[in-house]
Amino acid sequence: MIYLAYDGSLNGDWIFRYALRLASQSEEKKLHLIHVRDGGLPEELVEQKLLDLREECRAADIGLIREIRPLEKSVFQSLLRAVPEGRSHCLVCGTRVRSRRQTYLSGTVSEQLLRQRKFSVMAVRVVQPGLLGNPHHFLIPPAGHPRGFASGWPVFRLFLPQVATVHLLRCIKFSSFHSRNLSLQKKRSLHEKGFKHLSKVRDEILEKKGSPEFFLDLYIAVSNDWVREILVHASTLKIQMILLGASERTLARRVLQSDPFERLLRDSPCDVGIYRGIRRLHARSRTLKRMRFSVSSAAVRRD
Amino acid sequence: MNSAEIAERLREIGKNTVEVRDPWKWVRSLVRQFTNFFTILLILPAVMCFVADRLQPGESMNVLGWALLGVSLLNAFFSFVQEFRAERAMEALKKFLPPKVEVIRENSTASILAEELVTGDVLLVNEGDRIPADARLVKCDDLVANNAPLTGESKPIKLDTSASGQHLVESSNIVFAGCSILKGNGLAVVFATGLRTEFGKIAHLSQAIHRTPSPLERETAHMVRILTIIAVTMGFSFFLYGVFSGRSWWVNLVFMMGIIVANVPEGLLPTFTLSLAMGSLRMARKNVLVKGLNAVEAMGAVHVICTDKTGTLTRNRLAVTHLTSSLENRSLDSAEERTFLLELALCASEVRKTKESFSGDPLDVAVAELYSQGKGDVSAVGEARLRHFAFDAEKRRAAGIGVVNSQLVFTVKGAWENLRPMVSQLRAEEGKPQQVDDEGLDRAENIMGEMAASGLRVIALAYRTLPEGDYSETPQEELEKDLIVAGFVGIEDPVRPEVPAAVEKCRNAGIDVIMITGDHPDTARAVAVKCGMVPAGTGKGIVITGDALDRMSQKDLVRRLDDGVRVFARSTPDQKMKIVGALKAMDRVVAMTGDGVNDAPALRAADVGIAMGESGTDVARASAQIILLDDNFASIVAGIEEGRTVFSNIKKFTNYVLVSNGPEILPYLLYVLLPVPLALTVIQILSIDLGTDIIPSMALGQEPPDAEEMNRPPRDQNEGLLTLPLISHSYLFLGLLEALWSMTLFFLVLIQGGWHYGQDLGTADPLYRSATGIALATILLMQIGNLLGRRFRSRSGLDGGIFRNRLLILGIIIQIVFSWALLYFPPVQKVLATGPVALDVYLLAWLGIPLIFGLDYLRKKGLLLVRKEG
Repeated sequence: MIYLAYDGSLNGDWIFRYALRLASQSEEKKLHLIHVRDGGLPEELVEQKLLDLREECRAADIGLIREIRPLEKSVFQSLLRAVPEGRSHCLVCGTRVRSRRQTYLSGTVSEQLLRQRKFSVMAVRVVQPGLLGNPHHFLIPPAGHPRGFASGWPVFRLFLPQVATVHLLRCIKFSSFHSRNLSLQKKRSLHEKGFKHLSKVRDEILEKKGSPEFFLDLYIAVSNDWVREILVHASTLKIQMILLGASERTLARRVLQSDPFERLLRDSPCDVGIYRGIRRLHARSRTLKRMRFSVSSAAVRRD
Repeated sequence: MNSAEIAERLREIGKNTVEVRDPWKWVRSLVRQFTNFFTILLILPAVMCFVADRLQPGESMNVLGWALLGVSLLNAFFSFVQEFRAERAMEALKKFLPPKVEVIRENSTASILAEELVTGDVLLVNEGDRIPADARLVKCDDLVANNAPLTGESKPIKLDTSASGQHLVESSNIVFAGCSILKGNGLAVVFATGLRTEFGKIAHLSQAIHRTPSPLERETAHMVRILTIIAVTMGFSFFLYGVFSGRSWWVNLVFMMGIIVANVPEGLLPTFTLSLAMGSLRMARKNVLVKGLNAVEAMGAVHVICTDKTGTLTRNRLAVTHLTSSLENRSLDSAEERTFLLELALCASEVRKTKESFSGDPLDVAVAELYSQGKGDVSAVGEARLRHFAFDAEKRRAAGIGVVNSQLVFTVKGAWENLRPMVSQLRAEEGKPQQVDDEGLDRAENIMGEMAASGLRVIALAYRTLPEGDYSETPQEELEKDLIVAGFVGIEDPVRPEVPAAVEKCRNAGIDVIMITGDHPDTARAVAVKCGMVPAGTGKGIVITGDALDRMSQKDLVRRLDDGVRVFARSTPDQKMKIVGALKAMDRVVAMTGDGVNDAPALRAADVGIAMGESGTDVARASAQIILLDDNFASIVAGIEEGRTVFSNIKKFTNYVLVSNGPEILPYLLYVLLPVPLALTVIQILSIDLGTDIIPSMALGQEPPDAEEMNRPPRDQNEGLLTLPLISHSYLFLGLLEALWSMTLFFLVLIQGGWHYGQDLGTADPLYRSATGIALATILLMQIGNLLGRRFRSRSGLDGGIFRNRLLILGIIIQIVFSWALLYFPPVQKVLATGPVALDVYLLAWLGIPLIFGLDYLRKKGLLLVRKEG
């Protein structure tokens, strides 16, 4: 089931289009909209907007389940209670800049949602509302995780029927000193390693995709700035959506890397989707839960 | 939209600006200049010198400190200025966007700052406007735009409001940021602003793509790293040895500093810079203007040149060379038919008479020129035209209604593929139209194909006579039916005469030439054959079209390039990035030419970006490292030859400079291991590295190109500047020779003056000063033999126009004069703490020149012999 965390803002309307799109590909063909009354907007306005959204759902032949919840401890807590636990549930939320804090994700409800491990989450930054949540050209920068694209697949498969091109980009991070002094042999071996990983991801996607046909290409970048590489590839390849995964990192790492994710969200030439799937909980994951969440190092694993 | 919604949109998506905010960019750049290995390596000894001066004043150590600091600052500042100058593309890009725009907000027209524009705004578009954002047309009145900044084609594009299934930049219902409106007016809804516009993406790439370090930068970094490791390890090891063997801290400190200073060729990198600067001057004389000094040498390392066709390989002076019927591939014989064909073409063209010739689309100008050569009046044809339909990039044709041959006709001029579906008849030479079936059309297509295959740009001309009436409002589509093909116009852009020889030179030098053009594949292949890029009769396998390239993965592209693809036809400038990416994935050093705004990202992504000086835009020039003043391909090849010469010369003077490290290090080793005086002080070492060695090094940097330079393949990227053979030759052969002979004379003077083994001598002792003086003078004189020997790898060095290189003569004179002055000229004696020696001892120092030169010559001969036998 697709859930949407809707705050009633203009950005919320843009995110709704993504949720609608994903819901249209889900088995249930239903969208569960959750609005937490936090007093951010007048209730009449929200009510009017919800009526409009219902019309859009009707036009798209999607059932809309509205759930207006009172504010509990926080918006995050209210949402957490509203969405059932399980891998089959995916909550779509937005990343948006707040008036005082010029960050898109860091310290927001969306970040808290991405950190929890009860259900899958996709946080979307919309910069091209005209696309109406219907991107065709994707850039996916897998992090080099041994599980390949397993966590991204549940979200990506919902975009599948309209996908025209998919570009997989593997960024291999090096300090500027090292990248300047990198020998050709070393560079070649890194490329091969990266290519091997991407080939695995490609095979995984091709195996799971079924009938939809799309163009798929692989790119390797060795760089000291993985955000720049993603942005450059997104501009060069005329990408409409960057889809990347999030993971946990310690607070120290986050400070050291000064949240490059914020830069990605700010300067992105296209919409960005940050997903986090869930695995079965086990003892170790409880320890991990205590760690602070940092999306900054999500897309890149240091080699 | 109300103001609250506008504010919300502005906050969510950001301002409509193409500049990437990075307030710390220049600070970071400046810091980077001071954190590279070489600068640190110079700053550290400088600090040590200042510390030493505080501990023991009066030894002029502070002078040394300032000298080292000065060199490091100069290097850093130079690099910073170069980086700063390379970042001007943004300024040029900004000029394409208007400061203010008119929009409809809350039902009234408002003039707002362009950067406050948001998605959803309704934009008023008028003739002469520059477009601030990407917007979809909702109302359109005879709108014609120039999308050259995005497409590279300066042809006027007719716009309308109907949906388009083309690629976004080819859509006729969109106005794009950075482009301009030539005619008409309309309303458009903004759907992308700032960096999200197509123009913004170019701007973003122009800022975000970091140039990869040039081969020389990489090799210099490698060399400096190795020298640093050697210097620091040696200095620190012997410092510890000194401490444990009971020497004083001060002596050990001086010793460590000496070892480091002796190992670091302080003058080498400034000489690199000077050599590259001189190389850039020589390149400028060959019409190759270099913006970044590293590009001088990078040119020499190039494996592949990706070049545009028009204007670079060809003259960009189109001339109509063929006028043929659609029934037979031979020139029209009848003058009347030829005139008829040209008048039809002119009716669908827009050319204006200028003082010298005509202005307008180059293709139309070529037609007008031929028509006027035949005594035709182009203005009269223009006056007889009643209506003109501008070139439509999507439809790939232009059209017009006018009176031709006393008949009212509708005429269409464009690509055959697009005209064919509208054709029902073919015109025979005698002027009679013949009904045609698919087979007949295939035959006409074959004729067109044959013309294209011979390197011609082919335009099909079709027409239909119209009954008298008013056609001022009739849609073009309504007129485009039952057309009669009048014939084909073959236009040739002749290959520059010097290009085939330059391509041949590239082949001999192991450099691949790849052509990227928007032309038809057959035309492109024919030009490639004419240029000598591929042999005549080469199949279609050497060509990839833009459409195929779009569907090709990078891996497939790499494979095709490996298989010998040399031509990219019907391709767009933004595909250049894909080609550069694939070539770089193949570990090739890529030179890329470009002239348009949309070439900027590829120019930055390539190892060497080459912009056209005559036809290039400011943005392309600002993004490139090299500007080709005459737009001529042959000049690129001349630049590559110069670049190779510069690298070869850099290698020569690196070899030369490292030789003096041997006699600079040995005295320190003897000093710490044995109870003997120090033969060379730190200031004496610096007088060589930063003084007498500079001019001779520059002289080697001035050596003319080797005749064989362009007959060798590009150098292996793994082959560094500092190779093991070079180190062995510099340190263990020539360096050792200089060290042994200078130390021999040092001890000879000491022994003749009554010194005995183990005796300590003060730095002010006249005997010590004379001994260090002769050691230094010997090194300087032996550097003359070294200098001559470094000119050629296998020849002696005394031949080959030694007197033509004036710096070489000056370098030799400086070494001689300085070797004399430091022994016998009191002011120099005072600065360097040296003293005089007997004349016969000084003459013995002169013997060092034939000694080093002769033994090195014997080595060369021996190596030649071994190679021959091998």
